[in-house]
Amino acid sequence: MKLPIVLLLLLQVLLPASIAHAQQRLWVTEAYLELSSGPGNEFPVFHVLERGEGLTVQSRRTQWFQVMSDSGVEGWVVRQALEQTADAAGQPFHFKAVGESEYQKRRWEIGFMGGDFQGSDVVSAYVGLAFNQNLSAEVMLSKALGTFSSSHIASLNLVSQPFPRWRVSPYLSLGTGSIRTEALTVLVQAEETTFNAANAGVGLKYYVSHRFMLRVEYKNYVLFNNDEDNEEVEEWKAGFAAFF
Amino acid sequence: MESWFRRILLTVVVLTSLVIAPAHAAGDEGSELVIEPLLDRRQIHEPAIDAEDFELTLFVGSMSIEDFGVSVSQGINLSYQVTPWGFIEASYGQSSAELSSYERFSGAARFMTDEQRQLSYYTMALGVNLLPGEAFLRHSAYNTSLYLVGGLGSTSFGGDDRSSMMYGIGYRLLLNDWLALHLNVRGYLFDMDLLGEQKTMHNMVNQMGISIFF
Repeated sequence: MKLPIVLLLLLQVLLPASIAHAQQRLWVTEAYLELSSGPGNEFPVFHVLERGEGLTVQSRRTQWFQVMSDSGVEGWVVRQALEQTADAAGQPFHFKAVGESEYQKRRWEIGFMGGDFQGSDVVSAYVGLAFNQNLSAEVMLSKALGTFSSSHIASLNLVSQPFPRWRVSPYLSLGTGSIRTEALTVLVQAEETTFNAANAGVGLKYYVSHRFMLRVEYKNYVLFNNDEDNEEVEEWKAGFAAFF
Repeated sequence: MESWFRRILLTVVVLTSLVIAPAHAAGDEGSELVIEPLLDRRQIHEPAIDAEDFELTLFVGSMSIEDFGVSVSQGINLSYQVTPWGFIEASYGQSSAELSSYERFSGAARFMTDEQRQLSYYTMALGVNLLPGEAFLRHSAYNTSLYLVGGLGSTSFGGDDRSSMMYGIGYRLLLNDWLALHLNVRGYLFDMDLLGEQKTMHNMVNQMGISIFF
């Protein structure tokens, strides 16, 4: 619990810097510009700026921009509507929409998955870094929780996506890591074991919208235990991720 | 010898003229435009606008641990607003269990150490802003949202880690652009082998929180 508090304090120190961010001056170039009361389609339009009126962009939440008009009215404008304004040089306002092309050019991917690890429930969190459209590396931390034991799985995986432009795009992954298993205290002989493991997997990534994607995968782990036969473990998972 | 010197001199002159000539030409163009363009070249630049898609929340409230009474619970929560209607969230929380009803009434020995009574959980969840809206207080309007969350995670209790499921409903009231208040009711479910019997524990958490957007 101490670490999150430290993080929070750190953030609060950094916060004023993020508030004092660059503000952009714009002028309405179309007949009118509608201001909504909140960042979403559901919020009502409560004010209209006329052609030629000036406004300042203050911040952004998803694809909605908070603006303040020169007359002092604060409201939210969706990206498409704000593109009907221009800056002092007459250049139209432009902000790249997050769509499929950004998804294909994504560099970072952060996601959560859940599923089944040889009969145990498993939850995972991962961070992926793309080298190009086809190849990325990811660090995945998982916790498999069974009736009699719990395991921590850490792995470094290489993911290859042969058809990155498909909306539902298959991928292959190869990885290596370690699995630490401890028996629950209910059992008399509580012991802890750590094995190195390699894994191979196949899966699908599906782009939903904005910065949101879904993912399902199957993995086969080989545990290099000290017995003569290596142990094989199957894992099924599904989850979601955001990309940057 | 002379021709060698001349060649060098010539090279120097040619090179200097190559370097200077375009600079002169550019200078001439600036003072006298042959064709005046009607349209400016469009320069696309991405404006640096402060994005506030992340929300960090601190929670405090009560957690009712099944069979173990009600105790204070704290939590921290980081969420990322992916679309106006949805967010993903990672959360961590903790609480500490009281004596179970069995221990209290039977007068028997405690079956858990103080350390085992510590409960902590982390969850990865998906949230939906179900009912976005506004609340009116005196002459001000505040944006609000009623949201649903559901996710999976791990709960550590009784000295062991168990897989857990979370579902909940929350209400967010934005005081200004970057500060919000939360009210939250969440249920955490996990299976536990208590006194030799496997059962599903259903633990409710009622929380109040304060959050910052960044």
